[in-house]
Amino acid sequence: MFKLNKKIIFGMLLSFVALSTSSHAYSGVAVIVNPGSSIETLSSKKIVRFYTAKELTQDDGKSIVLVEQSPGQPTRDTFYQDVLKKSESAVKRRWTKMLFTGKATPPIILTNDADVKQYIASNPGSMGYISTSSVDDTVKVVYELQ
Amino acid sequence: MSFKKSKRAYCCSAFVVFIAQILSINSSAFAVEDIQVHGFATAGYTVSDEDVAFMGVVDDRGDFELDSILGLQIDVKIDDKLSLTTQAVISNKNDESLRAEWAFLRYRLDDNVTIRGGRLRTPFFMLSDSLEVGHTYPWVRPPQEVYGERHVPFSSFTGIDFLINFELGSAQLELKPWIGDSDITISKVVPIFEGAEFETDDQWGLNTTLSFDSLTFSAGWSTRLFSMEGVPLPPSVLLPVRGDFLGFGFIGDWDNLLLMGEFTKADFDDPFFDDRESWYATIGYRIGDWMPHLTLAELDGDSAPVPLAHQESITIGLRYEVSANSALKIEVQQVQVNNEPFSIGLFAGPIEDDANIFSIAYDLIF
Repeated sequence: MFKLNKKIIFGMLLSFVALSTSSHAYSGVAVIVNPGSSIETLSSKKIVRFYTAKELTQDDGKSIVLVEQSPGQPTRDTFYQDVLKKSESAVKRRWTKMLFTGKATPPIILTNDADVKQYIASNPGSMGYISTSSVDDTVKVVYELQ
Repeated sequence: MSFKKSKRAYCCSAFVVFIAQILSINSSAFAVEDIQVHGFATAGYTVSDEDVAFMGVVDDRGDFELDSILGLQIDVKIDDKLSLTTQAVISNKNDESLRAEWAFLRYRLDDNVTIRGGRLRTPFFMLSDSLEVGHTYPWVRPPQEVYGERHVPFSSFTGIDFLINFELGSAQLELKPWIGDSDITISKVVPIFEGAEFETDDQWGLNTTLSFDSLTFSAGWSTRLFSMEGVPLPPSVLLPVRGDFLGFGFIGDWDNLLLMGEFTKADFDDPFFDDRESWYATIGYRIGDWMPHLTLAELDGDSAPVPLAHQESITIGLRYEVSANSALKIEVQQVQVNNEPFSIGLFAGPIEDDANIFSIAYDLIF
């Protein structure tokens, strides 16, 4: 039988608390995909559906790898407030439920605009968001909010 | 009635071989993003003002046993359509301290249809799929009048389910037909069931979920032939017994207001087994990181020879979001069992007055 000191494990986990801070600086946000993607434009409604796990595949049936930015990043704050128009905690609750009910895995979290852009540029089938000022021709913009 | 002790071991090893074959077909190494590891943990302490144990473990000496749990989930994306999910859980429930609650392959046929096969959660309830992930619900534990494992010992089954999704205007409808069997050894909860072996045959069901932006309605029905061994039963009881289970639920989850409720009904075709009805209703209101909530719940066992299983309770609780990934919860539950003669509710024996149960829990997801 499996024996583990549960007190030690719980103690370790309890010390694992991540604190999130929040700040908000205004700039436009662009939703980007890999240049090889068949997606040309997306409505904000469709983006909301992807980022709230209502839709898990592209129209052609291929899977989509969603990329998020770390909590506290200004681009993330803009994306939640102006594109998703939902609270971070409500979106988080939705993904947590999808994950632990075995229905979908949550987006990959990368640190900032530069990391997201680099990841999208080198991974077909991925989608993310960065500030409009970070956009260049290594990625394709499918939605833009100034 | 046959108890194939090796059945589970056989299924597990067959499953592992199956996975190994899939992995060898797709022999390219996995990229890091193709494997996701997540987990959840609850450290919970519960104490009662009664010396008669509640839910088999909680008495006036206090206990960490009822809610404390550690779970680890690994999701492996094999290709665009196929993925593997396994979830292992360590807790003190039942006799197995380490359990695989989930271990299935998920094949996404298209955006509307997903097939899952392996070890899956039995969807008796609205919250069955995330039952042990405390972070996903307001209370320290789901209301035990409905969720108590005394009347539903099979938390998972080996089989398949289909997740079929439709768009209905602004709403989404999910149909989940499922089929598969369970076997389990329990239980600390009811002393006479200690060491008993339970098994289902011919088990299947259908669950439906209709979800709007903030509102979710669910309904489920399932049936099974239920047999057990190692329990002293009167000779009049002819096993196996058919048991049907029906449930309805709703969740209204707005930015601040949370409303939840569920009704369940269990029917057995042998009068020795309790037919039971149970329900709860919860209201919560988020104020920043705090959510006070109130729950009413009732379990009604309409049984022969004695109506043991009647219980009503009121629970007042407070949930605090410590961070995006962790929450602290405190609650007080007042339980009454004496509205029906001889009832013991979810206690191990008769209690004289109302019982007051205090719980504190720290929930974490990672």
